[in-house]
Amino acid sequence: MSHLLEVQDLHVEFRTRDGVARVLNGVSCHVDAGETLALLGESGSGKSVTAQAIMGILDSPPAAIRSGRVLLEGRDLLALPESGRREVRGKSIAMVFQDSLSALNPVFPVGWQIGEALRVRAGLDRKSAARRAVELMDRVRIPSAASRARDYPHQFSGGMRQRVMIAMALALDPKVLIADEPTTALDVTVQAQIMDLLMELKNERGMALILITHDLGVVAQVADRIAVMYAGRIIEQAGVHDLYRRPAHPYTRALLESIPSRHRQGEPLTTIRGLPPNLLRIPAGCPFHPRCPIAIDHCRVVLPPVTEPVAGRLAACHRTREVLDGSA
Amino acid sequence: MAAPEGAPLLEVRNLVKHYPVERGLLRRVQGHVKAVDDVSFTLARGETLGIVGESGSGKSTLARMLVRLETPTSGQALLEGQDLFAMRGEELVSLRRRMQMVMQDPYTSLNPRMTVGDIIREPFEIHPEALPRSQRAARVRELLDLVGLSPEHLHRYPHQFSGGQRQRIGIARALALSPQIVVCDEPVSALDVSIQAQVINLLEQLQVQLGLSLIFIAHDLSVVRHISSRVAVMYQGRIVESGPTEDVYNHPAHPYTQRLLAAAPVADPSLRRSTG
Repeated sequence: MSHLLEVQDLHVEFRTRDGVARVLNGVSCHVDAGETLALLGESGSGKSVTAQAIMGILDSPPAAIRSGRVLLEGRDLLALPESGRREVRGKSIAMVFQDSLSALNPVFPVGWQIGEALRVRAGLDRKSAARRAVELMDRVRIPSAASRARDYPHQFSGGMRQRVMIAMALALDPKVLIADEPTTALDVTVQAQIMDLLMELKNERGMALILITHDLGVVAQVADRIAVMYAGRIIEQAGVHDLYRRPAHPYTRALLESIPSRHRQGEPLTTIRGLPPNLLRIPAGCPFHPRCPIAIDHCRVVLPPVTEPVAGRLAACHRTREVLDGSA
Repeated sequence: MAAPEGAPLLEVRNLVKHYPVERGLLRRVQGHVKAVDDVSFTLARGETLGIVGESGSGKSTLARMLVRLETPTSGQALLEGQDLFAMRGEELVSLRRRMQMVMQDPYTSLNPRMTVGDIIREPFEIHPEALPRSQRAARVRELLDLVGLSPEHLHRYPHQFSGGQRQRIGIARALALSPQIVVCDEPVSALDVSIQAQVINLLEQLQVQLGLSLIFIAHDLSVVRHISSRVAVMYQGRIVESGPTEDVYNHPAHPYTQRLLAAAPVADPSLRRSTG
């Protein structure tokens, strides 16, 4: 069965002054209509680069896609010329960025910016584009949308600006929406409202949602499936309940234990020793082995392949079975 | 004058900070923003008081007043009975030794042109009476060790460190003069999850080891719950609720606290707020 969007064995490098950074090292994942896939990882894990490669907005150079495919309804986007990519961008796959203040143009009213895609891409005249922009602002629940459409980005609060970004992303009715840390800069109460809105829109339109985040709380609340990234690899993929109940990779397990929880009040938090690897010098074997509490000699030498220890779950760890059954 | 035994180490009374809102060419004052509006609380010796609130709640302004980076509009803060804001000259200098601050952003709060050794040594340049010159090198090494860094780091510059390590440097600097109170303003919010835990553990361990009193300001409710024995919730410049941490979290009395706790995403998919 083919998926709505499928990433296959994606390799991306960045040329830097100090050498070649291997930022993505064989990323494979997929998402279907109406589904929420969370790409979870810490800074430098490759989650945003994965999104940018899917979206076709990687800065090249320094970035270069070495190999892999990004299939949208079976068609490889990486094989398309730039004009073809542009056609897909916005119309089939749209993106909401973390920093709405720098993602929006400060010198144009937000209504004009939301309407831009409608004028340029959908061929609407100014008047109907403006009307549609107000409808979209209304849909993302910006109060008094008609008058606020004439306001500039700096006149909105962070949460309202994020709604503007969502309205803009929805303009051409995309099949896939990528949200890159959409609520990271927002207050808790606003964050909850924005996530609720995204989920509601996803359900209403049957969109696929790729949520990029480092926040284990947000992921637990909204994701259907989770792909955990480390050093440019997806090291574990599973349904949200399975992953939180019984992680299959020691990194996932350590992450879950490192966040404060009511159940372990008064105890020191579990920490992951050391630091994420320098992507210019990824360790041999499993990239997590220097920080892994259960690494064995084999892990230092052989890169663990992605396996399916339990039906429907993927893990890249030599000891995943023991992690799953709790014996390691 | 020493305060009696059992009295709080720090007692904040009716603290207020208003900022004028100026408009137009003549900068006429149009009104005031009440950044901190009649805040009172106490801090006991060896205690961690958590202060939670969203952006604009006044928690950072409060922190900056306590270390006298901002001057309050009115109110008092009594440190062992002495009002911080009435201190001048010698007294103020000695206050700065007793209260220190750890900043949020480990990337901008360290001078990029100074080595780690210089950064941690700088408090002694400003307060030479704190420690004779001959003992400073040893003290700097001791501080590095205390926060989990090694002597080889002394001659490196901040940019050579990760965010978590930089925050350790900031903590070492704050501890240099052996303060009684450390005000931590969002000390882990710029750090990755796995690194956050290291820094939180370090702060907890140092608190016990050195008998510090901590004021821990953060927007992350689960972090505050973990580290604090008491918590105060700030909203629009006021403390709307305070009490022992577990009481506030389990039985929030103020509608804002209830809203805040209900909105916080719990890292457990079986406790979803709504069915996405």
